[in-house]
Amino acid sequence: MNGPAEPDGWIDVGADAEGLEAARLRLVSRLVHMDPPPGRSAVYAVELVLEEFAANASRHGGARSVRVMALDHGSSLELQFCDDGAEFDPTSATLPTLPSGLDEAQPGGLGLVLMAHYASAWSYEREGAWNRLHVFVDKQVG
Amino acid sequence: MDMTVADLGEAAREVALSGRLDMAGVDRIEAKFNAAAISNGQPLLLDLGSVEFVSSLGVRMLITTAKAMRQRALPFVTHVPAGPVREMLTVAGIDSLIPMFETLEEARATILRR
Repeated sequence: MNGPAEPDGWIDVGADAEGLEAARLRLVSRLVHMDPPPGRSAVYAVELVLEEFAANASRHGGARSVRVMALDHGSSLELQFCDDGAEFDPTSATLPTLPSGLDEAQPGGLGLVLMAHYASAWSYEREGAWNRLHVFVDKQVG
Repeated sequence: MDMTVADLGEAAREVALSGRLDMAGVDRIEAKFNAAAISNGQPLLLDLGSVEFVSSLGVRMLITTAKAMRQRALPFVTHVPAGPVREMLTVAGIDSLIPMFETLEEARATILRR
């Protein structure tokens, strides 16, 4: 696969539900081997960020290749996402306002809100034709 | 994602989901859920007590359900115990759109009163 030269550890994220599920299981199996392993809430955060990123990258960005890697930083972990979709920096995007009533509620648009909430920090860079997003999540152990 | 359906006498329908309400889960269950929960013309209690994960696609399904029930002038409440799912739904603002009860008893008592 073309793209930036990367070390081992990247997980390909398929565009469909099956591909996403396979990537999720591989990612979670990496988490349980971290030291210390993340708590239940942190695992939820990781799974949520994965799904929201993958859905946005393929549905809105037209990405055909989406990859993720998990890095252990002790009390926190880092998810690195890489995709070949249209240039998009989610860290600079204006987040939609949450609806105050059912009339205003739209069925979509929450992905960025959720990612911004669950990330303790995040950063973005563009590398050639690739978006790279770093999402940090506190492990919330104990 | 699995679903069970029970009627609370003739007063309301209780639909319990279990598993993951993510991209795959919503794909699998949405049509069946709509038929059982919305189209039968009764007030609805949606039990999410055994749902371990909800993503924005799951939230979309809840919002769509709430709008459909309101269009039919039928009450709709949910059982969502304390935990990561409830936290996520609160972050998404769902608690201000759809009644969420921490215990199934409270949710049942409410839907049967309406």
